[in-house]
Amino acid sequence: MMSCYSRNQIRVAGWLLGAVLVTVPALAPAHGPEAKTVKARMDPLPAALAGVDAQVQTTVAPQIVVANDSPRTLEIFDAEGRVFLRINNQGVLADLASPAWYRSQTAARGVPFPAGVSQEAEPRWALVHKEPNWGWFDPRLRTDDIQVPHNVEHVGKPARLSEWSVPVRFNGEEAALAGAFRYEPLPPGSFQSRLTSDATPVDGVTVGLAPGTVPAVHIHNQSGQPVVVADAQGHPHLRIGPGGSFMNANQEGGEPQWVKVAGGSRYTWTEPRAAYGDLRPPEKVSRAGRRAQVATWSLPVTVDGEPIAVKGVVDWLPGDQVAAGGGHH
Amino acid sequence: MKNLERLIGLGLLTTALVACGGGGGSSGAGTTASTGGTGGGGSTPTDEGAPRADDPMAPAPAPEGSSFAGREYSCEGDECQVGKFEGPFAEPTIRYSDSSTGDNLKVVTTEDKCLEDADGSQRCKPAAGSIALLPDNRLVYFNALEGTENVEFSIVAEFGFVSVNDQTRVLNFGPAGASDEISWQRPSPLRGGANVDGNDSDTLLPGAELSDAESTAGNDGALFCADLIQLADGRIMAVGGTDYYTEPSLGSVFPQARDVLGSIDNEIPLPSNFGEISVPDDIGVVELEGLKDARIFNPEDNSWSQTGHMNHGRWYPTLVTLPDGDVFVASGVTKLLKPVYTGALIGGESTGLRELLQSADNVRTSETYDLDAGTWSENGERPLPGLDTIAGKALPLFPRLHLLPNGQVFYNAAGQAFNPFGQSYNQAQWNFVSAYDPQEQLWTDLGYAGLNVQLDELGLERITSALTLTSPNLLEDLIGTGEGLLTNLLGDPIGSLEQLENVLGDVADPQVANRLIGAGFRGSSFSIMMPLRQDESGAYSEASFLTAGGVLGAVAATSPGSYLAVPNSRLDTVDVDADTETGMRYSSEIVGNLSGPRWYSSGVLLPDGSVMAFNGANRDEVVLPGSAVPVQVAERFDPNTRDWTEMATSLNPRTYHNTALLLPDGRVLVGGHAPINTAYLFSLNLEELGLSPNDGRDPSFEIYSPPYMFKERPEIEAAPAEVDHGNTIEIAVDDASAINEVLMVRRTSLTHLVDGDQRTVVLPHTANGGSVRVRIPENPSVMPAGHYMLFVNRVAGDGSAMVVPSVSAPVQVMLPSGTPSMLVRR
Repeated sequence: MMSCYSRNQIRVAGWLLGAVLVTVPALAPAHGPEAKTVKARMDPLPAALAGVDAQVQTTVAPQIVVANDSPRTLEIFDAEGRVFLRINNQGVLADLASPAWYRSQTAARGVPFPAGVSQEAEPRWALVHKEPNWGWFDPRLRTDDIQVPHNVEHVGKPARLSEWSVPVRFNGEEAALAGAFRYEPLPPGSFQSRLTSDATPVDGVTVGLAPGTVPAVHIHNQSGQPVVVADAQGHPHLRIGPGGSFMNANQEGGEPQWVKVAGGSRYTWTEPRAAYGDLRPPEKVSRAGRRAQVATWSLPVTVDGEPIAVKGVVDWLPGDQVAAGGGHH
Repeated sequence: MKNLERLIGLGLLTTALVACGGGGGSSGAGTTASTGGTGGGGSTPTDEGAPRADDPMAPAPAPEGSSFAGREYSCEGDECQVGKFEGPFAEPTIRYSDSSTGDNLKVVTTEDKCLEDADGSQRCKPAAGSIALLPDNRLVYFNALEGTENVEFSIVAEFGFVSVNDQTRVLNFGPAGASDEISWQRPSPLRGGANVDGNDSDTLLPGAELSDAESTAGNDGALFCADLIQLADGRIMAVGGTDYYTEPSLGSVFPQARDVLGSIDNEIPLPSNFGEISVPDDIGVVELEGLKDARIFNPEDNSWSQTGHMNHGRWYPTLVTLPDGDVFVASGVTKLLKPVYTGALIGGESTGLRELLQSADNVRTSETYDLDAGTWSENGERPLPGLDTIAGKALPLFPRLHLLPNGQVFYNAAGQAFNPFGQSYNQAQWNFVSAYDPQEQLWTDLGYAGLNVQLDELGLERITSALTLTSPNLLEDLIGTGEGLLTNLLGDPIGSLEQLENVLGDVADPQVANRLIGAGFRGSSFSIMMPLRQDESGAYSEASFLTAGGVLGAVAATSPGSYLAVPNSRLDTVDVDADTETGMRYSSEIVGNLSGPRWYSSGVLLPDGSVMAFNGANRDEVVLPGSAVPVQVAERFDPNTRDWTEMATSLNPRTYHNTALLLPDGRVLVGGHAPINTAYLFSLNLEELGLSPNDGRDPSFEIYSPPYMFKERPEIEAAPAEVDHGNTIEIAVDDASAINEVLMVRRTSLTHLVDGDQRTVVLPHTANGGSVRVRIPENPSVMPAGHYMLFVNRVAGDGSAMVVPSVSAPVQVMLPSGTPSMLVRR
């Protein structure tokens, strides 16, 4: 039996482990250019562009991704009013004589142009893609040079800084892909999935949860009775022990067709049902700046046919609140 | 989705490039010992005269092996306690053909890493990012990211074009004598020869207007990110690698450069208009596709040849030799850039998470190479089409794998999290150590890495609580004491471990804290299997693994891991004779910390039982290139005290993609280096900065002599060159009664940090007159067939109590079928 003191120590260390392990999921990887807090976002498309899909996706730099599988052509203008892309259900045409085309291929600056390429050159159209979609790096979406005003940074809340616009023509009608540069600081907090039910729900069965972008659940069954985890439809999906771990290959329902997938009666699997389904908490929750439970979850698990509780919650843990909580360090 | 994948790809290339291999470079490394060229003066390349038809490095018939007999080693002062580094030395010449050389080769002796040819292209010496010790004591190594030296503006846009298959080299230490006489040889074909007609790339658009498959012979079969393994007969196999192409691209518009690449392997002169092409023809988005290739290097004639293809293209796989001589391969990724983990980037909607889960993973299916047939087959059956095989396993890239003495393959919860942006939805599974049974073709998890599955000490409930924070009270208790930590970590995710420890130090038992910090998946760390020893009953019933440094998994979230480089070390043990359902039991022990955070350090098990850590940096270089400080002090782990001690300091910084391996005389060959700058090219305006992307790749080597090299050493006078499992053999030594241990050390085949076959086996011995007698284990799982170095060691008689090994004797353990031996030299 452990003393209270050592139990506390473990708890502290455990929480800190949790804190270290469960940091901001999936958001801007803190390496490379996307560590910046200024993001290019796209506004909803105007009615004139109904039928076109467009997004901004950022990898090494912001990119515009456009899909138009209608017969009406979407033309993209460069910064000087010259069309360099044409997209419709026949595919994508690019003007190989246009400097914008070359610039659009890379996030680097200072791309040299081959002979014959200039703003004044005669257009030279070529089919570059047979699918009705395309994506490119657009210099107008670069965030590198956008400064975040001090007062905005100080407040630490997301804010719209300035606008960007890419003029287009759709079926002959002028329009634009437009959006804003937003200040989006890393949310000062993280999601933490945890098990709230008993880690040993039944003698010989232990349940654990390993943190992850999507957590993994680990069951070790030494009870001698079968532990069965059901899928979202309620069909038996995993059987852990005895004699190994098994997965049900029968996806239709009816008698399970158990296929052995592990030599022992212990198994780990990625469990999306234990994760938070979104990348940010509800606006209300993050604005409140307090620890809050944002989801509950429960897994359908039986031991020898009897349901056992395997459930938990997902908490939003704001770092701000922790810091504000009182002081030292 | 396809288009999105293409775009994501642009960003992923950066992580791809840094994940494996070395880049081009130019920081002066001088040559020391070399033949075939004078030592050159200063930094001005000296032309050795007119272009010549012959190549001094062309493979000669029946290359001589190296011998370490008769070497003299000496130390001064401190060196005698901490060892010494010598060198650096590098290949003395650069040879190439360009528009000025006609049909001939130009051979320039220079101390520089690179030089510029007549056409303005950089020609650089290859760095040893992957290296293997051959049965005759020579070494074969290969370059990586070849071609980055010629990226002018955008590695992303150009690399599908300028990337070139990586060069290979053979390093020879020279004949018996007082000192090394180091020379280089060139294998043939120089670049390993795969895919001479282009790869069967899995591209989006096999099209008429665009040639996206880009069957560019010049870069369809790069050795970059292939793993290396020693086959039972001593040949070396390189598995996987990279097919670079652009997808889509404008290849059809400017065809000339593509033709040029096709001729590089043969070194015929370039077309006269080569210099006029000012922009790569294949502007487009580069893709890195893992190759299915496996190619074999034959030391007898320095040649590369192709063997059977895998079923899955693998970029950054890990290989392990199985007890019967077959080879097991796991993980790697097929298309690094597509399919990708896009769900996380599609923000805000609940469907984002679903897409994340559906996007592809690393290759979960493992395969086995049949040594006799030369073919690969998938492990495990597929119960349903489209489903995983039953042997499928979520593993990181380049997982740390080892063969257990029971014939199962152990995953030690370490690897590289260099997936696109480091995210893998199933990363949480990487935290669990696991064993693969080649007979049943099934994996079984053995426990959460770093935490004692027996849980007797800390109590099952407590550990599970710590892991999952089950108690609501827990958080209340802890918020007060842990305040500020989370903010600190988020605000400074690359903050050092000291920060964490400072806070922890106030409130937690350091032992417990250390255990919990060091638990779970570890990235960019080495995993060394400690010497296998018999238990009292004479069985090899357990294996232990030392994991030290690297970055904490923090597999919850950020990419590629937590960035927190740590000094934490742990020793994990798998008991393969346990009374559990699987017969295996996993336990873990915290051992002493390294001197500081140590990321990407190479571990070498020495023939005195200690482990040394070489190279690395104090921070994850992926995170903030340029902010990491190279760690050059070598450290030594003593298995008796369970602590690390600082030893000598190396000469050159070697961070990313470094190598270190044990030489047959007990010294360590240290090489490689390709830091991150190369990959972040895309974000720089190079014209403004005048920067070259090349700074940093290091083609040089150093040699470390541990202090035992300077003691009076035991001597093996005679030993059998070939042995079978179960044989009892006699080893003639100079003083049999003084021998402490007899060790068989498998020759290393390493792709930076990882040799899946790394193993040292201690053989109990009896003294028998002028020799010691040992028995080669009956069980091939303990000592798989292949080429080993036989060492004996003894305790120094000078009062230092230092364990001093001999120079090794080469011993080949034969396959039961009696595969003919190769290159057996005494």
